[in-house]
Amino acid sequence: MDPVVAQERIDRPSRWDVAFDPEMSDADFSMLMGRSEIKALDPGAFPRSAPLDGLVRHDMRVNRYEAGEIVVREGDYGNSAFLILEGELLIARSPGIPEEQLGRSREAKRGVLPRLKTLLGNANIPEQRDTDRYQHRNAGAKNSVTRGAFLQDVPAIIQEGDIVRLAEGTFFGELAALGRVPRSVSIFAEKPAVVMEMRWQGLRDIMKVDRDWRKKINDLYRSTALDSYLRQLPLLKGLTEEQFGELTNECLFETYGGFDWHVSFNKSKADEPTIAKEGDYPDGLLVVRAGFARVSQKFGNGQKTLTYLGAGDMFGLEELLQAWRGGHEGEFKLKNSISALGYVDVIRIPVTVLESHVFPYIDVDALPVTTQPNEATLSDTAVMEWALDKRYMNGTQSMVIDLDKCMRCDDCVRACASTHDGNPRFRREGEIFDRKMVANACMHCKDPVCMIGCPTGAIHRSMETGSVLINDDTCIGCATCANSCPYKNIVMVPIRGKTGAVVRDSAEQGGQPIVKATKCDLCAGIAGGPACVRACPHDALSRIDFRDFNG
Amino acid sequence: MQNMLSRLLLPTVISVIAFVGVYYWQSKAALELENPQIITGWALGAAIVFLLIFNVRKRLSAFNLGLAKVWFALHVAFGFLTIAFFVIHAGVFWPIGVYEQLLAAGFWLVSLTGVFGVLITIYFPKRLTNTGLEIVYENIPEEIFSLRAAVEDILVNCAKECGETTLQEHYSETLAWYFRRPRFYWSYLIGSNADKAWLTRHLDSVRRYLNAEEMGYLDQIQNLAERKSLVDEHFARQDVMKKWLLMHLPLSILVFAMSIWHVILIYSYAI
Repeated sequence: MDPVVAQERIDRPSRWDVAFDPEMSDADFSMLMGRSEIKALDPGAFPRSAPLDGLVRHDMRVNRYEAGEIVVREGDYGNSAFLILEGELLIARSPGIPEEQLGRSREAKRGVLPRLKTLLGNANIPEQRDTDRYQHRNAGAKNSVTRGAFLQDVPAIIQEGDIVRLAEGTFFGELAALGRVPRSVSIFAEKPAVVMEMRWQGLRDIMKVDRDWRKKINDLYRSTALDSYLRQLPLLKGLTEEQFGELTNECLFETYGGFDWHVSFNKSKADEPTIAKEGDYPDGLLVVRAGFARVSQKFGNGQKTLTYLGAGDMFGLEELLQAWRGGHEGEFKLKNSISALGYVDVIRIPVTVLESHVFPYIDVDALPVTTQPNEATLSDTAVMEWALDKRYMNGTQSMVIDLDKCMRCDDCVRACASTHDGNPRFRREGEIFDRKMVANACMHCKDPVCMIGCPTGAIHRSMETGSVLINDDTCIGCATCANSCPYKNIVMVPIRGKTGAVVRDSAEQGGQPIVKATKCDLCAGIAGGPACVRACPHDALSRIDFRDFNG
Repeated sequence: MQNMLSRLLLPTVISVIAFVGVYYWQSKAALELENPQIITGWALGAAIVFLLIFNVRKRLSAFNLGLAKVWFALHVAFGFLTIAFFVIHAGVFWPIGVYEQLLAAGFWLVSLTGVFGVLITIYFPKRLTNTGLEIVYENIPEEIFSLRAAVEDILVNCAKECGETTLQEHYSETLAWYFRRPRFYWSYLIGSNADKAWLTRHLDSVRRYLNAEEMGYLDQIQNLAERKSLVDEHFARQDVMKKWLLMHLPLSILVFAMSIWHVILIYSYAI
């Protein structure tokens, strides 16, 4: 096809084609460059590909909030961190801001005409794009969806709620930006305030270069994560503020495994550092804050997996309660081992703190049992062993195909292709256990490591649903996400222009095809959910959270 | 199977009610000396249109037109309802006119391919799963090519290491046929063991002429042949799973078109 149609060439997309604020004024730029936090950085330490002034110009923006305006919303997935430049902001901690006042935006649904176009479009030309939009993509990128939502009755919220004030110079939002987790609180402006917002890619680059920033953000990350997380634990709900303060001071924030665990996993070297070993003395309650951990028990010459723990799950509670109730008579040991599946954040609440501040004040009989008695046969646990070894516990929307029902008709593949530029966003292939296949489709992970290296933030979480999406306009085709995905579910595709020819960069740049990252987006914007599920006539295909698969 | 039966329950109940209703209506019409075939004919036409809509739904993936699994259950139940309507409309005797004979033949062919489709839906996927192998239909030629290339590499190594050509000669005379393309198509479909019997015969027949070292190479070839057997089973079954629809769908569109002409003729000359 290519030789007979007109060649289409565009400039190769690069990281800063789309600035965080394309309309940033020179005054704002100078103000940011003049801030002590930025001035403290050594411009010479930054690489030529990402200089300091470039980071400030392209990865930062200055937001001016009006009184009552919401800055971040609890539950939203955020990709940026904030620094208060002028004024102060308020955290509405408990009971928080009522959901109806948060003004959450809904994702735009795809209209009837674009959907009809999928029927009428030229199906023989996949991945066809209107390349004009890449050339004019700065326009309209200024406001994020969080802007423009105002609280109706700020005094009432301040009066009724547990409010924390953030003063000028406070840094916040790094937890969601770096940890790929939802915002834990809502923050709003009581009075007009000026705030610097920074894309997490920029924050990451500064942290790479500057040790002070790295230490400051890491310390902040740990303390913020600890505080906000402990407050959500049902076990600690009944504590007074004073008891809570003491507890927070004593708790330890521990991290096992690498944040970029996918690197070793992709090299078939799955690291699984041990957190606590069977037979050890239980010196504290372990609470998983983020990531996953395997609970196992010695069996024969290996370890038999009993269960896995995710965010909010606890380890060692039974043993600690037993010791406390028995007055520490006899020998108490951990019944099981726990190890990190890739990467895990753990909060360790020391036994002394629990016995003085927690156990005496709670109904211990009502507490959940962390591990079930080990009565499953090896055949029963085989599916769990397999899935944890493959790290499938990460998936929230894994595509599982029941091969006993699947007619291999590819209706699912065709449905996907017809709703996605004529090219399916998954492959009907994958790892099989018994009669279930986990197909090569984006699993929309709890911990999406594909987002880690993206230089532009094109791969991001939907604020509304938390599913992982790729912004085609800002994807520069670097393939970092595709290489990072431990499950090989992101595919780089050459794009085609209006004429149907593969779009290439200019001859000076090498004349190479322009590629974009593509993956399942759960049919975002189409009513009824993923087309693949709706299209399966035999009820063979489902999108499931791994916990359901295991159950 | 149980899952499918539960999905079919409600559509089946609806179909039975629809049939009883139409049967009662047309019986009443016959008693009142009206033409009952008008009622059964339009009921049959409506059922055929509904069955065809399933294919339209498949093409409208971008629209939320309900789950295909529900459509499929309705398609199966209403398919049997359509056969019942046809029987009360046309009777059990073979029609006399040529056009009506063609229409009836087309209808029964569509019905038969439909029932065949339901049977393979129930039976074939499980058989494929039990092979322990999963391969995409379009990748089968490539897989067979790589298996053949692997076998020929083994033969070259055997000749180099052992200095004998017995295995190579035997391969070119017999086993090469097996590795050239998918074989034993019908055997896999009816579930016979002809492929295994053939392989055992042709692999065992050469063993007595091989030394221990050559035997090791033959064992490697046997492993590849066993994998080829699984690939062949996938080819045969997936081929049928894909191609039955190529009969069912065009035939059903043809029957629909012929039915329209049938209605025009009836209203022009018979009523």
